[in-house]
Amino acid sequence: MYYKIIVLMILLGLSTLTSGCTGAKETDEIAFVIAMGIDKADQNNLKVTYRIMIPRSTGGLQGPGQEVPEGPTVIQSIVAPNTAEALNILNSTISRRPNLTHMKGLIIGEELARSGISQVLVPFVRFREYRGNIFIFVAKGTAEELLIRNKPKLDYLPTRWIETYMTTANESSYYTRIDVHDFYMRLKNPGGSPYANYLGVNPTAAGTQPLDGKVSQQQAGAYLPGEIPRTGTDNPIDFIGAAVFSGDKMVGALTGKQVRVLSILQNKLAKGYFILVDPLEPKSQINLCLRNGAKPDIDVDLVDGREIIKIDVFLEGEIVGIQSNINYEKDGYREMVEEGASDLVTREIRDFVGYTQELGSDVFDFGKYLRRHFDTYGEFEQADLPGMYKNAKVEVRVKTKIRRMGLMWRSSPAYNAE
Amino acid sequence: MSYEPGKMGIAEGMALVFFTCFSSVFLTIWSMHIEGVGTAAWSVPIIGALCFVVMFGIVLFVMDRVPGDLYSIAEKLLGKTGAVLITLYFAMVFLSRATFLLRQFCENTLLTALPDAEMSEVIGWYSLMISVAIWIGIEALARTCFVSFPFGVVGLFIIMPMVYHKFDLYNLMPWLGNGLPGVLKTGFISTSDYIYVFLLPILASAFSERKIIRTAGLIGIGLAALLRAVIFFVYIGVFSVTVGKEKILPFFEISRLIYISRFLQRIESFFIIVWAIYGMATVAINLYVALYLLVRLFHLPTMRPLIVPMTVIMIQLALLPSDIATTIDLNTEVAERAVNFGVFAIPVILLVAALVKGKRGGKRCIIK
Repeated sequence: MYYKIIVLMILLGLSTLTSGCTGAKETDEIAFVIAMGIDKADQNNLKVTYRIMIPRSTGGLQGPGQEVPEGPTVIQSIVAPNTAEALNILNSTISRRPNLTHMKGLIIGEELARSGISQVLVPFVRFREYRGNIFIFVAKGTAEELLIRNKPKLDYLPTRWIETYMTTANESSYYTRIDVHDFYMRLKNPGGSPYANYLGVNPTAAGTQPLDGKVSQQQAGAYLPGEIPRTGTDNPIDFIGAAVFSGDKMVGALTGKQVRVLSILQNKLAKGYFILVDPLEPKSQINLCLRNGAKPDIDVDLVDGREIIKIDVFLEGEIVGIQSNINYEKDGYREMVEEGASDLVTREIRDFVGYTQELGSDVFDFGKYLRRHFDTYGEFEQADLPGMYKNAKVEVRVKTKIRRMGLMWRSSPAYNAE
Repeated sequence: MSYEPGKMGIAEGMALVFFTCFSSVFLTIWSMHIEGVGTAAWSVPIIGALCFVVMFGIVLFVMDRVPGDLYSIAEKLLGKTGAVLITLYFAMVFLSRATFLLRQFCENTLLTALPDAEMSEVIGWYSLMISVAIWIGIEALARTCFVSFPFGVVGLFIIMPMVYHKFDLYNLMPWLGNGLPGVLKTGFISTSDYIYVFLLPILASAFSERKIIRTAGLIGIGLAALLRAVIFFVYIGVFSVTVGKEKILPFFEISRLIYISRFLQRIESFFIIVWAIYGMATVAINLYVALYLLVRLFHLPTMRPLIVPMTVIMIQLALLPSDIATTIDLNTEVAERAVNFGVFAIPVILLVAALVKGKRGGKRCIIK
């Protein structure tokens, strides 16, 4: 009987030793990297920039008179042949052990992105400290500059800044949510092309250039990062558009508006404000808030070896504003607004597909709809999908339904207005 | 005799079968099936299970005519030499399975949870757990499996919906993968994944009726095959073919993709515990069966003195391959060649012998 108790005691004792303490590290021994930027450097090297959290700066201030920390992070840039060696060197520049498990963002400099990033991306899917759900971005300019200039004020923590941006992507759909897993899937699997969020430092917001105020009304939303006409005191980083890749090379960029079209096709448009030229008074505008009313019906056929893309989109939404005060809420007039919105989105979809066809980058994954036309996966893999996409014929049909009129059901003209 | 496995019922039998057939989903098997058959890899576990059910049916048919466990059936039908050969064969199959699983689970522990630990430490602790489990006996081990079984299954059904945002049905097309002949061939070869169900006829003395063996076996195979197919289906939907076949730990990779919100992410650590429990229980079951067969073969009065030497042998064998890739390749070679031979040849040999001898036994399979 006693030996059983002794064995039980030994086993219980051992269980405390097998609970993972072998690899334990105290948090004050670790430097948590929360974002990494990678740029091209001379002599085939990379310039790797790390944004590292200062844990004490995130704690609450303990009492009056306590010094307010300068910022929650430090930045270190290292030139090295690859990211693994940069990590080695990083360990020699900071006292703590670098740890990548809490990394939220991977930012690639545009020059590097245009020269190809498949080699750079390899460790991000293999090394256990990186995760598939790290968000991926391309920086207009250099990643280092973007990381240095990125000083969000609404979100004190840069990790929260990235996550909040991604959580609110569907608010306007001018940027989208894409992580390393999605990017790598598109890079490796046939049937689509990779894309990443596109970021840039805005010179007017940063105060390095004056804002001239010459903004075309039709251009609204069709911005790339750094082009948004704005000034202010918050972060000068513009989070708009997408960097588009063909293979592993960046070949172009989508504006915010084009990304919104991508969101419509992906059934991700939860809310988007559209500006419509007033059908009866072309100098005025009608503002609509639209969203996907149903999952877009997308069908891709092969007719005599040519790809035929059929897109059927249904949008629904509400009227947000009618500048002309014409009673578009009324039957007969409402249909004019719906038709105008459908035409607008049809044009935008055609432009989007045409532009990506020119770039040879199937960012929407139209190619995946072709899978069912092949008997085996091998045949699908061998097909010239990029070539087929470039020559594809596109048929677009958009239907819009105005469901609600906002808080007014009738517009009346202003008294004595011209 | 003290090596007798005790008394078990349908629940224990089913749990043993389920664990031995299912635990490989925590390893690299998915990627290998995808490499072979592409998008149709999810159908491989089902085809393999259907093929195995036929062979299992043959063994049950023989057991109907010749009462006893597999050793005594072989002895009665094939003589002493035949029984020795079959017993040795199964002992080697179960020992090799225990060895390969131990090495892979240890490597994966280093890879995922304890990157700074020493391999010898991890394999030592795991082997200690395995030895204790065997010391306590298969009856207790089977009940432990039955208790742990829902945690694994529920865990899987939690993971699957959590990666819905990464799932795309188009990733599973073309439905025939690399072609129907290839799918059928790979499914046929994967029959070896279920050979461990033969532990039920081997431990027949623990089950009061042959019906229990049949029911436990079929439920265990069915559940394992179905769940494996569902997981493969989700995995291919999430990773597609090219990326899917690259991964060494598909289950871990799926759990790492879970990102419901800022507050619900990074939950793979929880699943590491589940797969470690499944892994070690499976290694213990396999090593137990190998030991049991040796004890039965040599008519030894007890198993316990052999536990430590056999565990040491298992550790030494597990450490022989120089790296994880060699281990996986060797495991596949053994499964495709040696194990498949046993799956198909042994039941057929026993059936032919039973028909030739024309013996009709009793309904019960208690060893006389």
